[in-house]
Amino acid sequence: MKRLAWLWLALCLVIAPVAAQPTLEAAAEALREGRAQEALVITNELEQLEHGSFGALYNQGLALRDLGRPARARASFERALVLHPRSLDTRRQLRELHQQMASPGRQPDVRGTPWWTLQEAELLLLVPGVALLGLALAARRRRARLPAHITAVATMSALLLTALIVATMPAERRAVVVEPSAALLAEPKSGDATQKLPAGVMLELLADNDHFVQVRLGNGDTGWLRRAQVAELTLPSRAQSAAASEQL
Amino acid sequence: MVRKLWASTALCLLLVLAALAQAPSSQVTARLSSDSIALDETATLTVAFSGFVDSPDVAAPVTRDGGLQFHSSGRRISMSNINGQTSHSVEIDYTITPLRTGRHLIEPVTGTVGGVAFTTTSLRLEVTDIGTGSGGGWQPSTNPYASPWMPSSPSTFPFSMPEPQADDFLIEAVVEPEVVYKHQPVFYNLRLLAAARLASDPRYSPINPTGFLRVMFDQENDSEERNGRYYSVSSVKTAYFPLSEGEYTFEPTQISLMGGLFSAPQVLRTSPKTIRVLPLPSQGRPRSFTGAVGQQFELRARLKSAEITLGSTTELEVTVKGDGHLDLVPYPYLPDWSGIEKKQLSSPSVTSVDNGSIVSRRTYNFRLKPTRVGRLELSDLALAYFDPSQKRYEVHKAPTLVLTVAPNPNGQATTAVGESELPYHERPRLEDGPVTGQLPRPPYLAMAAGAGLLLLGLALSAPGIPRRYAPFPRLSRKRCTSLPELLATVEKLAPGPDSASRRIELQARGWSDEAIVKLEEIKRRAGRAMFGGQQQATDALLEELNRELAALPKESKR
Repeated sequence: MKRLAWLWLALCLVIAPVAAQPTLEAAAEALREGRAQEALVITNELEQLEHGSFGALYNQGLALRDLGRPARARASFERALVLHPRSLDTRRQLRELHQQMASPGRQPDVRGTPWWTLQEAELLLLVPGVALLGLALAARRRRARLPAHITAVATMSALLLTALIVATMPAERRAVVVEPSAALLAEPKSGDATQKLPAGVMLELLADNDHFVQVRLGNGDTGWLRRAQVAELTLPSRAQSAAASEQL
Repeated sequence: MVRKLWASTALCLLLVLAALAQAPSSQVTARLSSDSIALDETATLTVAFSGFVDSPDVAAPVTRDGGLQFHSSGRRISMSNINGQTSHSVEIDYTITPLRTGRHLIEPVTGTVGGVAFTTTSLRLEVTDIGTGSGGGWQPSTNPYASPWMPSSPSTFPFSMPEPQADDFLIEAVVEPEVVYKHQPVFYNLRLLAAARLASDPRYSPINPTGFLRVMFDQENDSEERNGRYYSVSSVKTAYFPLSEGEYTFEPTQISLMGGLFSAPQVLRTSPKTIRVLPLPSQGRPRSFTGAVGQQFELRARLKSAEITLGSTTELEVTVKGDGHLDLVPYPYLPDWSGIEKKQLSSPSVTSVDNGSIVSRRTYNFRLKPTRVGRLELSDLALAYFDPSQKRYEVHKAPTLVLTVAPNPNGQATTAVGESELPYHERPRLEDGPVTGQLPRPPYLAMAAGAGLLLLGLALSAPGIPRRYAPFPRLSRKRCTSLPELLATVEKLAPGPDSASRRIELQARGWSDEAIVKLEEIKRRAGRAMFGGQQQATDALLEELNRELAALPKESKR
C-alpha cells in the first residue's frame, strides 16, 4: 500500500509538469471563453519554450487585440505573416487593425511582408534563366536556332520578376511602434524630438546603440527611438533554430 | 509576333491608366462612437460613404450572436464639387442597443452604389454589466447636432408658400408630454402658420436627436385665426422614443423661407424644448419584462412543425403587436424549457402610424432543437410591458404549445444550437501551421545566379557562331587494297559533285591549294586506272596512290 502511494506520487510528479505545459489548444480555449490575458500568457510561454509557430503567434495577436493593445497585436500578426505570407485571415486582421489605428497625419508604414517567401522568390528569379539555358542547349543539340520570341519572353520575364521582387521585398529588420506618441529623436540619448509617432506604425530598423535603435519611416525620415518603444518583428525561436540548422 | 505582343501590352496599360484616372477615390468606412458600453447604455455606429456619385443602398448591420440591436437614427448628406466632378458623402447613423453582455462582433456592413457592393470591416463592441461601462451611451443634456443638413426623407413642405413678409409666418414647436418614462414616446409637433404666399417651398431641417427612435406622422393641414388674421397651418408630428433616462433638450427647428427676386430669405426658429425621461420603476417589474412600454399589446405564438424527430429543428414564431416601439423589445420572455435548446433568429419590426396612432408589429423567430424524445410543453411564453398611463406592469401570456419529439431512426448525434459561429478569421487557431521561415531580405545571390544563367542562355542561343569542322576527318590507317576502295576513301574526304564544290569544301576546312590539287590528281589517276583496265599498272599505281594519300594529312595543314 505504501509502495502504491509512493508510486502514485511519483506518477503525479511526472504527469503534472507535462499536463501543466502550455498548449495551443489551451490558448484557443482561453480565447473562446474570453480569457484573453490567460491566452496571452500561454502563447508567451509557448514561445519561450521554443514552441512558437504560426498558430501561436496568431492566437497571441487575437489575445492582444482583445486586451485592447492593437499595436502589439499588429506586431504578432506581422510575425505570423512572415511564417505564412499567404494567410488571408492574418492579412484581414492586419487590415482591421490598421483601420482601427488610422489617424490623420499618421506616418506611412514601410513595405509590408510580400505574398511569397524568400525561398519562393529565389526560385522565381532562377526559373527564366534555367529555362532559357535548357532551351538553348536543346536547340544547339538539334543544330537549330532558338526562336527570337522565346529569347525575348524569357528575358522580359526575368526582368519583370526581378523588378517585382525587388520592388516588393521589405527590409530585413522591421518593427512596430508599441508606445503611443513615441518621440523620434534626432540623436540617441540626448537628441531633440523631431516628431511623434503614433502606436502601430511599422518602420525599418537600421542600427542599434545601447537602448536605442535607429529607425527609418515609410516616408524616408530617420531617427532614434528607445528600444522599449518598438516591438521588433523577429521569428519564433523554433524558426530561428530551424533556419540555423539548415544553414549548417 | 513579338511586336504584336508589345503593342497589345501597351494598349492594355493605357486603358488601365485611363480608367484609374477617371475613377473617383471612393471610400466606405464604419466607426463606433465607443468600444465599450454598459448594458443600459447605447452606442452609435456610423457608416460613411464618401466620394460616390450615387446614393448608397445600405443593408442593416447585424451581429452573429444577435446580442445587439440596431436602429437607424439618421442620415447626413454632403456634396462636393472638385474639378468639375461632383461626389456625395453620406453618413448613416445606427443607434446600438445592447441585449446582453459580452464582446459582440458587428458584421461588415454592405452598401450598394451603382450596382457595385462595398463592404466595411467588422467592428467589435464590448458590453459590460450595468455600472461598469466606459461611457458612450449616456446622452448629454443637450443633443450635439451637426450643422443643419438637407432632409433625405420627404419632410419638406410640399406646398407653395406666400411671399415672405414680416409677421406673416409663425413657427412653433409643441412637445408633449414633457415628462415620460424610458421607451415611452414624446410627441414633437412642429407647426408652421402662414398668412401669405411664398415664391418657392420652404427648406426644412428636422431635428434628429441622438438616443431616440423616431416615427413620423403624416403632415396635417388646417387653418387657424390668430390676432385677427387667418393662418394656414401645416403640422408635422414626430414621435420620439427615448432609449435611456435623463434630461434632453431638443434643439430649435429651423425653417428657411425663400423670398422673391428682391427679398432676402427669412429664417424661422423654434425655441429649444426640454424633456425629462424617467427610469422604469423597478418595483413590481416582472421577471419576464424585456423593455416593452405602451398601453396595448397582443401576443401570439405558433410552432412551424409541432412534430419532429430528435436531431432536427423547428421554428417558433412569436408575433407581438402593440402601440409601443417593438424595436426596443429585443425578445419576448421565453423560459428555459427542459429538453429544448433555443436560438433567436433575426426578427425585423414594422412600426407605422395607423389612424393617428402608432402601431408596431414584430415577429420573433426562434429555432428550437429538442434534446430528448417525448412530449415537450412550451409554457409561460409571455410579454410583459409597462403601461405609463396606469404606471404599472402588465403581463400577457401565450397559450401553451406542445412539441412532440420522436426518436431519430438514424440515431444521429446532436450538436448544440447555441454555439457562436464566429467568422473563420476570428476563431483561435488549434494547429501550429508553418513553424519555419526566413525574414524577408533582398535575394542578391539568386538575382546574380539568375542573371548569369540568363546571359549564358542568351549567349548559347545567339546566331552567327560558325560551325567548326574538323580540317581532316580521321582516315582509316588501313591501306586501300583496291582502286574502288581508294576512290571511296577519296570521296569520303571530299564529297561533292565537281572539283569546284570540292575545292570550296576543302578550303573551308583549311586545306592548302597544293593539297587540294594533289587530292584531285589522286582521284583522276585512280579513276582512269580503274576504268582503263591496266591490271599490272594498277597494282603499282595503287601502291603509289596509297603513299600519296597517306602523305596528304601532313600537306593539308600547310
